[in-house]
Amino acid sequence: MMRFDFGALALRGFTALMMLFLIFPIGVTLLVSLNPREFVLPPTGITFEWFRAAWTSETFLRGMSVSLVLGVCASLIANALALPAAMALVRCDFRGKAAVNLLLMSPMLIPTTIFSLALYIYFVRLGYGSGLLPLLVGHVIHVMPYALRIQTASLHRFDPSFEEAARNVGAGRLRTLVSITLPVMRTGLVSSFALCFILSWNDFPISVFLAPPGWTPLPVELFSYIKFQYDAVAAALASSLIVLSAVAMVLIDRFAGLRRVMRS
Amino acid sequence: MPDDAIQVDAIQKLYGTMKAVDDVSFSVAPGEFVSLLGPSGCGKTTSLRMIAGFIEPSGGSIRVHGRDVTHLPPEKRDVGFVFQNYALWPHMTVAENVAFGLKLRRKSRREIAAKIEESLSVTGLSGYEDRLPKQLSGGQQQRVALARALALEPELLLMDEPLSNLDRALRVTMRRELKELQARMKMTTLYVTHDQEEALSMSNRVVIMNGGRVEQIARPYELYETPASSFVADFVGITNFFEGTLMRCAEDWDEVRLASGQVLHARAGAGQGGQPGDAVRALIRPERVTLLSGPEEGANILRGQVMLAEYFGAVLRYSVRLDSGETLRLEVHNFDAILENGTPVHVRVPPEHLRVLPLDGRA
Amino acid sequence: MLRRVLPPLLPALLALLIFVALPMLWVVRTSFNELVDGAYMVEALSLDNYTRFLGNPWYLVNTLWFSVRIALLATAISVICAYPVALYIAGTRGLLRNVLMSLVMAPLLIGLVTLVYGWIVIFRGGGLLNSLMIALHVYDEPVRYMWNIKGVVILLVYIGAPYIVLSLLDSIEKISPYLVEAARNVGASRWTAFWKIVFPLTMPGLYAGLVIVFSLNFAAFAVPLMVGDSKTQMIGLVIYREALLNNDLPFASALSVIMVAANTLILLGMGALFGRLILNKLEVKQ
Ligand SMILES: Nc1ncnc2c1ncn2[C@@H]1O[C@H](COP(=O)(O)OP(=O)(O)O)[C@@H](O)[C@H]1O
Ligand SMILES: [Mg+2]
Repeated sequence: MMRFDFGALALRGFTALMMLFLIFPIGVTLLVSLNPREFVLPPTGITFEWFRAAWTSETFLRGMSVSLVLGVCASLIANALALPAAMALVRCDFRGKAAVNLLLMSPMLIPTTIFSLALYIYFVRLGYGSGLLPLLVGHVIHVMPYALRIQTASLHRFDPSFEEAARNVGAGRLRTLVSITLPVMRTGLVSSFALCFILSWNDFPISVFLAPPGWTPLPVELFSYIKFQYDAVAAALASSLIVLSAVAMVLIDRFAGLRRVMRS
Repeated sequence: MPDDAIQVDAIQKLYGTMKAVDDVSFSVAPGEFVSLLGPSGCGKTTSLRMIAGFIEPSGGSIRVHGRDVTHLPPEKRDVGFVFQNYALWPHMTVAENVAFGLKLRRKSRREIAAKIEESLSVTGLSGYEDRLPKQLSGGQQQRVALARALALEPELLLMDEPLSNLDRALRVTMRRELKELQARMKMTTLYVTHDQEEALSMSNRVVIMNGGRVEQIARPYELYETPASSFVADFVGITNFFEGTLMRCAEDWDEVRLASGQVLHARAGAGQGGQPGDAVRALIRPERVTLLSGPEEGANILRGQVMLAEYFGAVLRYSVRLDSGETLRLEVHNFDAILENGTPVHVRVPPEHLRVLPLDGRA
Repeated sequence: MLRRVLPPLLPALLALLIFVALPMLWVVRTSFNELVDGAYMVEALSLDNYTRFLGNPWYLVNTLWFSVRIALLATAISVICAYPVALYIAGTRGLLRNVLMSLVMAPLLIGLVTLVYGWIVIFRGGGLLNSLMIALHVYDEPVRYMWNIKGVVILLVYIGAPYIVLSLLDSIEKISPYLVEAARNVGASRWTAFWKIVFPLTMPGLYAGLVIVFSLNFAAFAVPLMVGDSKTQMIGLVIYREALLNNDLPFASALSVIMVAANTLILLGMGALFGRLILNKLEVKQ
């Protein structure tokens, strides 16, 4: 017998409302970017005019290339630093392992405001005030804990006998790493890279502190733009970023489980 | 012997203060099939992995064909290894798995192709070259693991419970195939297992391990018939144990008095140099005990009642509660009826098959 | 052992030492320096930067206390929004669950600026919401949702609630369904079973979420920068402004030290309160 279950219904209704709240700004942005009548509702059709404008805008293109270079470099470096550390953490038992792990994850615990300020002051002091290095370092340190987390998880699933088998048939350490370990771990590495890239690509707080003149990453560029105008071109750019983030989310989720990765 | 294929001399492995492997020595002659047999956790895998070079020994030495390999990295030892979980590289096809080691040895393309074909055909895998490991059944994966090791023609093949992940029927088939292949190729093999049937049926010699130490090294037949310790007797097959005291050591026969007072005769010399008065254990295999058709008189004839009859088809096993108090298991192969519980019976324990072992500290 | 473990860990640890530990220490040192006209700053050992903030009631009320209030408010609203969602998601499976989880995590991965754009379009004076409300005659004058406290709180909740959902889910999924069934079995109503069994067992997850979200909110500077006004002087924003716009690095450093200290104190207080009120009760119950 079905009883009218007020509690369950309320729970479902509330969740639906919250989901609406979560999706609202995303949906509206996508809508505006495709609406030929800019902000006028209802839309009369679909246009890619705004996208064309966004993707040919000199400022945005420059921001994109900065973000792209920054994201790729930061992810590569962060992953390269994290990989050996993850291997040591997963494969070796040593005293103080928990402390080392906490230490390596510590950038997640420091408020970005303070971390960025600290780097800013530090590099000013070192005389690097306006180079590209502070920005890159900031991004690398910011994403490294995430790389470490995905790689640790994927190494936990890695069967060490794959490596032993390779050594057994005559492969040295380096050869084993290149031909066996990395290819077997590739899904974990792909998701790790995707996560690091997207975090760097979307970052605002660190970039706004550390970006030198002439090297403004896209989010900062977009922010300066929408300070003065909220037109559909900005919507198109924002939509592009949303789509890119969604692709990264799918990648990460497929290979690493998004939820485990995003937990703080 | 200097011309042994492997010579393991007093190897040890300590984890903290725990001795996973404690002073283990044995050797394998060229072409020989030797098994390491023992209960789980007794140090078999650790020993094998030290020979392959995956684990650094805490002490002792390992020689392969006279060459000291104790401290060589695994890639410098010419030793094949078949892993318990096969460890087939998931991103490579069957052929690539087999070819990986060959490529590292800078063989020509023709040679590699020929070797792949040969090793896949001896393991019955021709036609599976382009499959990925996950597209194969457990038994097929096992064969690939073997082919991968054989393709390199190692001086020595190490296998760590290679059949333990297969279901029972397949395990028996694979056991035969493996043994045939090994005998045909005269491949020197060291085989780890906790399955006594496997060890007894495949090996030339068996090394029995317990608690990190070697209990006995012997041919399968000797192991079963003349176990060197109670542990071996208990681990290999089923045995009746009786604790007692050695009463008499003489030219004609030895005598043991059981705790219950019952006296058993054993053949002369069974006491193995013990002195009268020593605490001993008397052992008899169930299939060596004879069930008599009626009352008889004489030494080693005991009376009792059937407590339990276990019927296995070809074999019938009785547990008999002796009048003196002990329980004795015995097996019958030719039988026309199964005795009811409670039936009084007479059994004979042949003195020539009664083993007498000193009651040592070990289990 | 150390010889095997150290080399692989070294690059990452060195990076953290050079680019996190040293800079953080340097912030502390800088907070005692002095700003002199014409120079970036001069080395000194003075507490001026601290007294300038802590001795000024305007800062204490409009920055420190304001940040605490906003952070607490946004955290509380996040919890209220997140709790039912976590409960509901815990009971779903398959596609529905995947969709819900993706929606929950989207704000964490999509950049802040991108999201802010969407909110501005909705909430600004001539935005969608006001146009709709006016068209429906709910009210006649546009209501200001952005560039004030409301905007800041809405966005902090938008970013904070997902974290709380995730950490609550961790706790909820650890609860064996048998516990609830057992309670129902001995006659507890659904509501009682929730209140006496599920709710106390979710407290650890809730607490973990609270700690993260409060800290994020308290330190926020991008959100008040983007959707706040001259009244939303959250401490993170003041740090940003002093450092980048006024070039007063010593003062910004002192503010950072104060912010971390205040955050730590508040979390300690929250921990004590939580422990007293709920976690202890939980232990007694179990
Ligand atoms: N890495 C290790 N650290 C600590 N103890 C270990 C390690 N590897 C094995 N051992 C212990 O050593 C003993 C022997 O293990 P193993 O050689 O795997 O036994 P087997 O293969 O005979 O089952 C076991 O008690 C096991 O727990
Ligand atoms: Mg083993």
